Amino acid sequence: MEGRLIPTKTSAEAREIRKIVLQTALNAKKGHVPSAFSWVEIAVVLYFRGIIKFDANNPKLADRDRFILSKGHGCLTLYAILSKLGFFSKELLDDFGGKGAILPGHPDTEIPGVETCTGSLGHGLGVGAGFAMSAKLEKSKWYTYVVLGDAECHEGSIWEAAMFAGHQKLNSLVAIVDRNKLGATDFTENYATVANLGERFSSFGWNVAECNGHDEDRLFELLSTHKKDTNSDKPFCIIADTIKGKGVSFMQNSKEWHTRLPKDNEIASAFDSIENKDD
Amino acid sequence: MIKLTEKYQNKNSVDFRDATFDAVAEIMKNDSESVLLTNDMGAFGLDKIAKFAPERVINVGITEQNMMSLAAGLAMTGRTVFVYGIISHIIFRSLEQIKLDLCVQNLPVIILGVGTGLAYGQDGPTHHGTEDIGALRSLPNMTIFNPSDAFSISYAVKNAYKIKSPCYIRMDKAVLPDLYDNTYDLSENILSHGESKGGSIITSGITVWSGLYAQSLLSKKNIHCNVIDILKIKPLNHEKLLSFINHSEWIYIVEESAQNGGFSADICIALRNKTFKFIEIVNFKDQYLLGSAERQWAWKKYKLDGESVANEVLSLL
Repeated sequence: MEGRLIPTKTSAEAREIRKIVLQTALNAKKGHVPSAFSWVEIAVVLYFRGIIKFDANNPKLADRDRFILSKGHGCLTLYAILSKLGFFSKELLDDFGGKGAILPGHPDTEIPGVETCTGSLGHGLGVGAGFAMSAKLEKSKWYTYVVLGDAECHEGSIWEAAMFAGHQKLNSLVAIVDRNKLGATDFTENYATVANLGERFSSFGWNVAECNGHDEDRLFELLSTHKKDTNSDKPFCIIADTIKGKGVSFMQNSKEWHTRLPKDNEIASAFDSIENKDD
Repeated sequence: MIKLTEKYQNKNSVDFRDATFDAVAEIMKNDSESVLLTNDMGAFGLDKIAKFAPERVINVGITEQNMMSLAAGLAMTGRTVFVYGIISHIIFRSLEQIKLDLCVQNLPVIILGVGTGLAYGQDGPTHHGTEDIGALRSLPNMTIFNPSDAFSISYAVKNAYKIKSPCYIRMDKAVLPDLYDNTYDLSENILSHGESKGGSIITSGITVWSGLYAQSLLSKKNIHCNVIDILKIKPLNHEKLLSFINHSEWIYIVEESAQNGGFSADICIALRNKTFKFIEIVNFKDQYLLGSAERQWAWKKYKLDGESVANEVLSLL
């Protein structure tokens, strides 16, 4: 599937989220910007297109859908989204990474809208499976969405959870793998392959779809179809083919930018790239 | 066999695991939301629970990391979750999940760990539970119970259920008489056998029986001490502990753990403003026990048995 990215038009929401992410990181002089950029469209579809049921004024609503950003280092996108939706004020975003600030470099449960602490990789799918198991036991209709990094899928705990979810037929569990093909230091295929992720999840008893992870229409189609499909008893996994650093031409698909931030002239170029790029 | 003093020799023995699961069963009968997870570990008592709540006793397979994360997810939806397995496996394989998923988020998950100390001594260092207290006592929000008999383990289970935050109950697989019954007040989570006229043997869990045996031997030589049973290691009841050692001139701590894997450091912190003739600590030192460390053999070798404790106290006096 890798390399089948078809250019799509970037939505206004996605462009705005990327600008907020970049500005937040620049203010704080910290943040994993390319990791945040690669799942922006996934976040936009989940939160702005009506996939996730939530109430920003009541983040603990009993029958809400649960969302876990298992790749917690990509949290700037989540923070931008939650802020836009009113879970917390923009002022908190402005203080990202500040002294005693509410928003740290990886999400924790003091943040309204965050279900569990993530940042150490490999935890989110297991916790999500716990949510989904609970929903199954109480015969509830709410869903659990977990966004995983592809390099995170090196963790054995991911596959423990995948096996459990498949065996228990947790059909309210949805995993979306942000397959941006880069770990922290290198391309995944250069040090520990995670190719054929779809086949791997499928062999663990999941329904699997693969798509361009920046194609909001296709993501919406897949996620909304799964919600309507009451016949399947399997958990659902989307392998979302993405570009790390998507939206800023010189940050895209580069192993140099995992924690690096633009400086000097790069800053204006980065914002310009986000604003004008339509691929 | 653990040596019992005369007082307990003719009493009926109870299996710690049966007492644990009877208490869990009572809770799970009354709380239809509660769940029990196991990493493919069986127990007679577990089967009894599975008969009335088959959907709430879940064998997750040998996936300890996932088991703790699942427990967190289940607990976050309002359930109390019991997690059962062998100490050496479920604590260390999943230590980060215990820290981040359970303790940071302060969730009502009760870990029932079987195989304290050298309960599985003959099975090699992969099965020894001699460092787990040291690992978990470092985690904020974690409560640690180390019961010494079936009655106190049952109490610990019921108490842990009320706490509604992460608890760890160390479960020996011994079959021993009850030390306690309804006439004892366990609510302070620390008990004294005898009075501290001379000194105090401070211990916890299965080695309380060593302390009691040493106490009986010492009394025959006119050396008097109390044996302090620490039921709840963390948080430690400092005030009650200090009241129990008020008249003690010496302290002898017995722990069935590696040097930094037990609770002795916490005792020393609690006693830091007191002066004694001596404070001595006996444990397995800073090492792993390779080979077949049969419990009574190892207790004798490292001087955790009652006779050795008595002899060491005598030599120090």
